[in-house]
Amino acid sequence: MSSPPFGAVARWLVGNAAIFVPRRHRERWMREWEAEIWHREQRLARDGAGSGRAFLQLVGPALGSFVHAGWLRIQTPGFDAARQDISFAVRSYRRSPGFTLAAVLTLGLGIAANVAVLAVIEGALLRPYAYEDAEDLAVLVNRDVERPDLMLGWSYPDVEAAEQSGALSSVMAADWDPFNLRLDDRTEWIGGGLVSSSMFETLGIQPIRGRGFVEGEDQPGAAPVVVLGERLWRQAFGAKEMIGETVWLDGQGYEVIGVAPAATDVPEGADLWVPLKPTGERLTRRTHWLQAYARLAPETEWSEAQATLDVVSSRLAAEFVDTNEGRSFEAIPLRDYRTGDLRPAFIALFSAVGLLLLIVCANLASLLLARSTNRGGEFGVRQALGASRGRLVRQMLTESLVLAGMGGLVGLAFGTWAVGALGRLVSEQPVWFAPTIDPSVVGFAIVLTFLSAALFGTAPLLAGAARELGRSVRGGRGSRRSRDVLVFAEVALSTVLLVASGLLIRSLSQITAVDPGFETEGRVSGTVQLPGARYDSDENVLQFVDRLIETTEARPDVASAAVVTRMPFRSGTNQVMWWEDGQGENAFRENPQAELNSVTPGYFETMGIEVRHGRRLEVTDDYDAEEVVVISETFAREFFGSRDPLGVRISFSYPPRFARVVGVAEDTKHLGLEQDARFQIYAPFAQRPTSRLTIIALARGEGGAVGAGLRQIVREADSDLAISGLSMVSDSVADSVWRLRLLTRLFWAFGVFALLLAAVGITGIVSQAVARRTREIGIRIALGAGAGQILALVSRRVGRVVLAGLVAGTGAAIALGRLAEGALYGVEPRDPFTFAVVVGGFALVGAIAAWVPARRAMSIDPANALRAD
Amino acid sequence: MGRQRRLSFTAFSVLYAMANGHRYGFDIMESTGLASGTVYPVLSRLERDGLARSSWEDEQRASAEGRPARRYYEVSGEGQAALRDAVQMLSGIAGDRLVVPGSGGGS
Repeated sequence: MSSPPFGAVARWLVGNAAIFVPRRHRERWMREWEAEIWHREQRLARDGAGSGRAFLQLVGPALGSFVHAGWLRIQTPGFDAARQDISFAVRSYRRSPGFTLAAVLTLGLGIAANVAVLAVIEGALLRPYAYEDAEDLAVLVNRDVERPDLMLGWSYPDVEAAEQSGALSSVMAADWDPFNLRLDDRTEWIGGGLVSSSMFETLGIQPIRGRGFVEGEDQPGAAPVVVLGERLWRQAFGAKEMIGETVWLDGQGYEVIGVAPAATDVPEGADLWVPLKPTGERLTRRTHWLQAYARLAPETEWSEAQATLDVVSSRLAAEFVDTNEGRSFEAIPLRDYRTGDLRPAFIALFSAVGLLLLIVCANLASLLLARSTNRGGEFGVRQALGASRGRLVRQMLTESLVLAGMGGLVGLAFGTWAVGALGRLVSEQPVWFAPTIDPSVVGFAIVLTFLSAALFGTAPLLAGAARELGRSVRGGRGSRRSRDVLVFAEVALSTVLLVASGLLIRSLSQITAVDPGFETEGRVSGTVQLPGARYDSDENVLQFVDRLIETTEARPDVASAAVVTRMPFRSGTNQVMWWEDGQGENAFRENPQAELNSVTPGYFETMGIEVRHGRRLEVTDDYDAEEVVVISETFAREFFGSRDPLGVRISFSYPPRFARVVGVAEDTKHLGLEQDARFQIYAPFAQRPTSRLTIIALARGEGGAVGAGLRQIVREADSDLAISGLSMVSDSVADSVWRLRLLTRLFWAFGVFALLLAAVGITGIVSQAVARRTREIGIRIALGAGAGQILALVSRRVGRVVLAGLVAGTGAAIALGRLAEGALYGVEPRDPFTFAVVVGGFALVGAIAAWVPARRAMSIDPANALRAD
Repeated sequence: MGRQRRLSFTAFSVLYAMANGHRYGFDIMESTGLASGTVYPVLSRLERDGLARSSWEDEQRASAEGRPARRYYEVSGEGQAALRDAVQMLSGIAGDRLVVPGSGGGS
C-alpha cells in the first residue's frame, strides 16, 4: 500500500505560504521549512507510519507555515502600506454593499460546501482511529471463492486456526448480540459484543476504569463478567464507580470488571462486551457466525500475513472439504473495510463541490472585472497623483484577499452549520460518519480562501485590466472577451452539475418507485431478544410469541399482527444452503443460496404478501406437524421451471431435516430496493423458532399509538424485556436509500446554486453590452429598428457563449458519465431525457437572464441616448 | 534590550524545550505539543528579542550525508537568564522540582 504523497502536498503548501514571507527572509525561510519536512518524511518512512499519521505530521505543520509567514509579514515595515490597502479595500466594499454582500455570500456558500464535504471525508478517511497503531488492525474476511462479493461468517475453529498462523500477533472473534439490560425503573435493549478475551490486546485499547478481559474468562464455566462502554456507563449509570458491581443482562448477573473508552466500536453497535463462550454446535466448523479482527505481528507486512492466511485456508480446505472448500481468508485493514466502498461517492462529491467553487470564482472574477473597468476613473486619478501601476495592482490583489477573507469566514460559519445539518439528515449514522470541524478542516478552509483569491483576483489582471488601468475605458475588448470566457466556463461547469443531479433525481425516483413486494403503510415493527437463560426451550419461546400476538391483536387499533425472524430492511439476512430431496446432499454447493425466514401464519396477511400458488402457512403447521415451507416465485420459476414445486421436499439444515413446499408467494425485497429478486424460503415460526424476533402490527386507521402500545405489551409480557427499533415499516424502507437521497439532495442544491450563478453571469454580460452600446441602440431605434432586432443585437453574443458552454458541458457530462455509473439506478449515465431537460431548462433560464437587461435596451429613449455622453 | 524578561507560557515552553536539547523547529513542536503555527512565530520572536539565536548546520557535511541542512536554535545567554527567572517564579509556585538543564544555577 503506497502512502499518499503528503510530503509533496506539504512542500506545495509551504511554497504557497512563502509568497507572504518578506522577500529578504524568503529564501532562508523556504530552506528551513523544506529541510524540516524532508527530515520528518524520512522519519515517517523509517517508522513505517500510516497515512493518517503522515498527514497529521506533514500537512498539519505545513498549514501552520501560513501563520508563520503571515507573522513575518506583519513584522516588516512595508506592512504599513498593506494595512493602508486593506483599510482602503474595506472602505470601498462598504461603499457598494450590494456587490459585497453578493460576493461574500456566494463565495461563503462555495467554501461552506467544500468545508462540509471535507469534514465528512476527513472523519471517514483521514482521522486516526482511537486504536493504537490502527494501521496494524484488520478485519479478517471469509470469502466464498466462487462468489467473492459474498462475505461469510467465521466458524470458531477457523478463527483459532488463523490465530495460530504466526503472522498475526493477536486475533479476536466477535459476535454482535443484543442484551436486555435491567435498570432501576426500566429494561433497555443494548447492543453488545460477545468477544474473545484478547479483545483489548487486539484492538490496542486500555480500559478507562478497571481492567480488560484476561485469558480464561472466555472459557465455559468462567464467572460471568462484563466490560461497559463509556457511553453506556455515563448514560445509564451516571458514571458512578461500577467496578465490582453486578449488572443484570437477560436476567443474569454479570460482574462489571472495566469500562472501555467511548471510541471502541468493534463490533459495530456494541455498548458493552462479555466474553464469548461457545458451546455445542457453535464450536464446530459448520457454524459460521463470527466476525474476526486481527492485529499484525511486529515487523510483519500485511502481504506476509495474507500469504500466511492463504496457506491456512488452503490447508483447511484440503483437510475439511465439507466445510472449508471454496473458502479463502483475507485480511482487510479496518479502515479500508469500513470505507473502501465509499471512495467513489466521496470522489463524486468532492469533484462536485470543487466544480462549484470554480463556478463561484468564475462568477466573482467576472463581477470584479466589471467593477475594475467601471473604476477606470478612480484609478486614473490615483495614477495621476503618483501611484505606480504596481501599487494599483497590489491594491486590487489586496481587495481580492479581503473579499476572500470575508468569504472564508462566512464559509467556515456556514460549513459548521452544514456539518450539524448533515448529521441530522443522516438518520442511522454508520460508524464512519463522524464529521467535525477540526483544525485540519479549518486549515483547508484557509487554503481554499487563498486559492479562491488567487483564482478570481488574478483574472482581471490577466485579462488585461492592468494594462487598461488608468485609461478611462468602459469595458475594453480584453475584459469583454474574458467575461465571455468566464460565463462560458460557468455554463459548462453548471451543466455538468445539473446533469449529475438530474441523473440522481431520476435514479431516486426510479428506486423509490420499486415495489418491495409487501405493503409498507400503517405497519409498525419492533424487535425483541429473548434471553436464552429463561427461554431455554422452543416451547417457552412459542408460548411467549403466542401471547405476544394475542395481546397485540386484542388492541382495538390493530387489525392483525405477526412475528418474523428477519424483518425485511431491518434485521439483515440469513442465507442458507439447501438441496432437494433426491438431489443428493452435495447439491447444496451448486444450488443458489436462499434466504430463510421463520414467520407466524399471520405474516402474509399482515405484510400484504400474496401467496399465488398453493396455500399459506397455517396455525396447524405447528411444532408437532409435518415440516412445511412456502417459497418465493423466483425460487419456483428459476429452480423448478415448469415442474410444480408443491409437494417437493427440501432441506436446509444439517443433519438433513426435510420440509415440504406447500405454497409459492410473490417475491419480496429483503435487504434493499435495488436488490434483485432472490430465492426465499418461509418456514413456520412454530417449527423453527428463534430467540431474536420482530413483531409487526398492522394498524387500523391512523395507528399512531400502536408503537407505544407494542412497547407496553412487551413490558407487561416480561418486565425483563426491552423492544428495540420501533418504527414504521414505510420509514425503514425509505431509510434504506438514505445515501442516494442525501447525494441527490446535495447535488440538486449544488446544481441550482450553480445555475443561479451562471444566470447572474449572463445578466452581467448583457447589461454590459447594453450599457456600452446605449448610444448605438438609441440611433438604431431612431432609425426604426424593432424590438426584436434590438434584442438580437444585445443578446447574440451571449447566446453564442451560452450555446458553446452547453455544448462543452454536455460533452464533459457524457465523458464523466462513467464515473457516476455506480451511483445510478435504472437510468443510463447518458440518459437522453435528463440531458434534454437540463439543456432545455438551461436555455430557458439563460433566456430569462438575458431578457431582463435586454428589456432595458428596448425601452431606451433615442433622444436621451443621443444626448448622453 | 531593556525588555522585561516576562515569558508567555508558549515562549517558556519553547525555550524550555530548546534548553532540553530540542534544537529544530519540528522537534520543538513535538516536545512541546504545540502546533507549527504557534512554535515558529514564537521562535522568530525569541530570536528578535535576543532570547534565542539560530544557525545553520554545516552545509557541506549535510550534503555529504545526502540530506538538506537544518536550521537549529539555541538559547542565548539572555534566554538562559529569562528561563531561570521563569523557573524560579514557577518554583515559588510549584515547589523546587524544576531545574534548567545545563545552566547549573537552577534552583
